[in-house]
Amino acid sequence: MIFLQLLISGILIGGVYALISLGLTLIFGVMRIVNFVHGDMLMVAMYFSYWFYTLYSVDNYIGLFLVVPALGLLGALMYRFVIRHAIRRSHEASILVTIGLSIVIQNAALLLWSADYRSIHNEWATRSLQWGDLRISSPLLIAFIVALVVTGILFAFLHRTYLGKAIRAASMDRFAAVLMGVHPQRIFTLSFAIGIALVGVAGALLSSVFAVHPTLGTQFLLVSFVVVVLGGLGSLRGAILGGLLIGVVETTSAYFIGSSMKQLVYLLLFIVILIVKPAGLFGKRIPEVNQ
Amino acid sequence: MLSIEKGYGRYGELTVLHDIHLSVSRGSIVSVVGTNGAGKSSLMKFLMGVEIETEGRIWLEGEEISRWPTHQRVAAGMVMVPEGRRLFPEMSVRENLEMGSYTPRARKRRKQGFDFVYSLLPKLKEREKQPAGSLSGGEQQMVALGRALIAQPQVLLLDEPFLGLAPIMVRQVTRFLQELREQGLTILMVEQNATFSLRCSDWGYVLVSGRIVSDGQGKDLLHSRDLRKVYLGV
Repeated sequence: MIFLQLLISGILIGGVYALISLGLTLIFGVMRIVNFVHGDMLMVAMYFSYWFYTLYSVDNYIGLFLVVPALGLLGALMYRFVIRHAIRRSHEASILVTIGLSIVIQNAALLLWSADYRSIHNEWATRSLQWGDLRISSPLLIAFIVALVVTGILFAFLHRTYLGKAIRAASMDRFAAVLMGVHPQRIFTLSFAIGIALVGVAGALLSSVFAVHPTLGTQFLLVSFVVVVLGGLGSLRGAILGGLLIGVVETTSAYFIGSSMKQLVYLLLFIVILIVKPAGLFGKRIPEVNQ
Repeated sequence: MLSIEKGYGRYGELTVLHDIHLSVSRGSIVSVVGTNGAGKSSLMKFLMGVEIETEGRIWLEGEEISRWPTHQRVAAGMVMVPEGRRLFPEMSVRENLEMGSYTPRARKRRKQGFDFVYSLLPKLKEREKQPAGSLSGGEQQMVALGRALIAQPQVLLLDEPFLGLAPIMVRQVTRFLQELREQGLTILMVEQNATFSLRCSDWGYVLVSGRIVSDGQGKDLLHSRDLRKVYLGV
């Protein structure tokens, strides 16, 4: 029974990890940059959600419709004004710039909102469904369902629309995509905005699960790195499967070893993957692409 | 239809194209032949304005397009089939063709485009759902051509269209290109294999170390001394 409980809890949180990782892997797939700001944007999204709730009593599930466009816009601006100039230069430049941006955002959050842990106490936050011996946390269940729906929408967009296909084409072969008349900067901006908007969804959902603080992003960034590498860099399907897997691994190890040690387990897993199957579950060797 | 005036192409410090003058008249097939490293692919990139710094003028149907970004050139009807096909391997054949109809102009005529390509290359219709990466080299070349044709080209640019094809496929592609010309399409190709390309061309240019050293009617050029000198060194 306990295994079933852990499996379910793991899959529920894994769905949210998958959502965060989808954004990271999408950005990597299209632009070949590792976005170190990703976790911090989750933190920003959770603060947005928190403040909408606290100041204007907007429920975080309704606030989602404000947080997501706001994050998408932030993503687009961040790409246009910062990232774009970095990836023109080199891989090292884009790594340094996104790490630098991460430090700036964390400290801005610290300055604006202090280091306090802040959480939403809406009626959903503590509720759970009971089914026999199984207990399912309501906010996590909602988060999972919304993550599922959003993932479905993302896949429909990527497979059914011209813009979505252009994003996939650009991640397979940028040069060929440009020859089809795809405007690369437009596609990059859009991909970055979508990646960050996905984090916005996750942030709004998680704000009633976890307390937010300025360095919260780091731990989630770490989780989504493991997820993305496990699934294969740039692979969307890999990110979903990896997210669910890491969710289960984390929940199980937190139960048996203790939650302070759970990171140890998935980081060990991370190292094992890098040694045994460096390309990940669904990964291929991705050729370097020049700007 | 398409011409280059005093074209120079550079990668940083390195100049790879020198003083290029070239013109392609409507409804003709023109080949630029040269050995490895002569600058053939650079010439294609020069025309598309991608991955290379350019100087000089390019005219397309009386309009100067030298400063236009690549996507605008594609939208104006200059469509290129890159060396090595460069299909989107995980996309189906149909999705690859759909990417060909990405520009607004092609999107409007998407249905006619598909009908046209499927009538010329019925094999692609059979393979519609297969991932492009799983096809043979010859079939991939067909998809690459189909993808370019759906883009409603005024001028079709081909980078080494015969590279890596079996002799029977070379003949098929040649016949196919001639059919396209009869339908009024203008074709400019760069090709290492002078025999294959000049035989089906109306006009040819010989490119050596980034300079055009000779030009003439396709078949005459094929037997000229200049060409022999380039390829055989005699």
